[in-house]
Amino acid sequence: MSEIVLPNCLSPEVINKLSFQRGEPLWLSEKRNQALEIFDSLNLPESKYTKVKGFKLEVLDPFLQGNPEKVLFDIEKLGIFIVQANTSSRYKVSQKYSDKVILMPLSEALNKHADLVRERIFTKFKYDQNKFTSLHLALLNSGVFVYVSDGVEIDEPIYIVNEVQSENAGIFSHNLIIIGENSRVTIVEENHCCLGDEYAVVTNISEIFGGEGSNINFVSINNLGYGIYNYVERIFIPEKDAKINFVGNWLGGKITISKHLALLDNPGAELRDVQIAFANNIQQFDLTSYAQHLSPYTKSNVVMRGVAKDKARIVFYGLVDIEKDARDSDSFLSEHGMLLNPGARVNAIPSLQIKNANVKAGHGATVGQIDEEQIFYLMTRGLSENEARKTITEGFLLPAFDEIRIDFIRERIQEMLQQKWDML
Amino acid sequence: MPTLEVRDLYVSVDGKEILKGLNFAINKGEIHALMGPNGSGKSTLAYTIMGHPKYKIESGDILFEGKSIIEMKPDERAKLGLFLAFQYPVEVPGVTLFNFLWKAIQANNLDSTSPRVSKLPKSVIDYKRELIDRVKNLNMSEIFIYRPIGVGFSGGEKKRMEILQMAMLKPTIAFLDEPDSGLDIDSLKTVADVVNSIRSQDLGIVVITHYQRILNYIKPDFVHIMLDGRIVKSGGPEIVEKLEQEGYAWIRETTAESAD
Repeated sequence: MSEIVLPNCLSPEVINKLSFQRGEPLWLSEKRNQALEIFDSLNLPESKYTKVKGFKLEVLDPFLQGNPEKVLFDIEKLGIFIVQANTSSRYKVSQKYSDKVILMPLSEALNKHADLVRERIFTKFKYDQNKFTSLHLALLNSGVFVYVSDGVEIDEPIYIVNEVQSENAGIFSHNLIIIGENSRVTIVEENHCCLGDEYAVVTNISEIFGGEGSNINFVSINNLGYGIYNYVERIFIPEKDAKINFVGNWLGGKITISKHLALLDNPGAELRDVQIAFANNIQQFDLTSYAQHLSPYTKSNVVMRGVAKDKARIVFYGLVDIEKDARDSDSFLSEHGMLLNPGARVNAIPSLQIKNANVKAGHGATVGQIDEEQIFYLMTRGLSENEARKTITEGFLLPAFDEIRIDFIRERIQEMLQQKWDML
Repeated sequence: MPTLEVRDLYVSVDGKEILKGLNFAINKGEIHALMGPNGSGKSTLAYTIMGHPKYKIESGDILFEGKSIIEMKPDERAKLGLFLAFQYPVEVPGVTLFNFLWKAIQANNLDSTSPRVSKLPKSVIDYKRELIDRVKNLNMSEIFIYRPIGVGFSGGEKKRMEILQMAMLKPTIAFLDEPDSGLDIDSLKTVADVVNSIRSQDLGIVVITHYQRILNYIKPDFVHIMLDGRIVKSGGPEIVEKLEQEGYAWIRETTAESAD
């Protein structure tokens, strides 16, 4: 047997300690060890456009506690929320919703709702894809469980705040979200950070099950610090006639690699995936949205828009597969990039594989420099060049958030975009 | 001292000389028509006065109230009170006319020393009230102001959008670059009515046009004919009639004679 040299943070002892501290069932501990065993044989999730440079495993600490009382966000006004600070958490489900909604840390749910969790967790997630996916499972130390019963409509958002509070934190969050039949919910996930550009590694992987006829709005806000390596996966599994409507912004992080996978395996299942990225400095965003149409009458609509400044890089991979059995399916993919200076780059890479002739499938992709004539026009009305550029950039990005119906969330996103611009 | 004066201006675009020694002056309260065939440099003059970065001044000067503005950026010139109603306004997706114009007015309001700024709305409520009022005068639907700038507008709607902005920003000297092209007669009258309604001693207007048609509705005090990058003839409204009867050939002949 060859000897595998693993850094201290990734040893069987560390894993046992994590498992023990979290009071986990044995099956999970076994899975962690399986993930650990293959770590060395896997590659980093790199591509032609994205290299993961400067990733250091040795310094990561997966045990770091945080203070969930002290987050950069006033959350007390909300009825349903969970705050995760490093690996610590606190949560609230107001009385009004306590018989309809379960929201708690995954570690707690593994015991309190063992069957519900066991039945679905890791069924669609594959830990053997790359070093980050195996690390994610081996060092799992965060994440939430959301369960909404059948026929529940909630006006308030289910709010998840994840905050990185320490340098060298290794935060490996797995979220299991199960929404019952015909239920309607909005989930908001905010990922941010009270660091500057200190190093930390975050994985955030969600399995999202939408019950038959359900309607899920999922808003994700990403405002991590500029030293953070961020690996994200979201797997959307809508049942028959279930609709999932994702809207996300990407603002923070040093390197972000994100993969969305929609398994449209039931008639009437639908995903709308809207992702907005605004990158500056040497930030990298490598974003994939992959819609698999496996059944008839499925629908996907993917919108990816990015603005890059300085030496930033954004890559959009929009993948649509329409399988033989997926007749009468409908998909549209659009990827658009705007560059604020010649050194920045956006690559928009659409790929469609269509194996049934009886479908609708469209796509559009453009990348170009910000329009000088638009800048001139706005300036002739009195806007400074900076204001003009900002206005055009906001016009390019912000309309994507118009469909968020909860005002304070939409305004929060707009505010963050403006803050980022003003920081430049 | 004229409000705006252009002195012996030579301008090139992408290395090609377009304006070749142009002289021009206008005072507040006057309406000038600038006529000439396609390619004579009318739009180039307007773009150069607004400071478009592609239009390079080779020599000459542009003075606003006696001070050279050629080193100023377009927004600084706008704040002085210069305005251009574009012949082909751009589209800016995602930016509503309502939001944009308020930003522009706020930017103009920053310069509180200028007398024209005192006439601009100071609160968003006053702004909205005035804007809706002016939209109605232009026979436009109120929903226009909540649509992205120019996106999906017809040619005529774009022209009105420009006139609307002029009315709101209350410039001192405004260039209207072919405000008539592509307009049917009713739209033309509406645009002309609004321009006439904001005529005042504080506003000088330069109407750039090929055709005399719009000048039946906006009566100019002075008319200038441009040919090949220069103003070759200036005079009163009578020039328009002569031009209508005899065409630009008449101007070409007379300038050729004078050159001899």
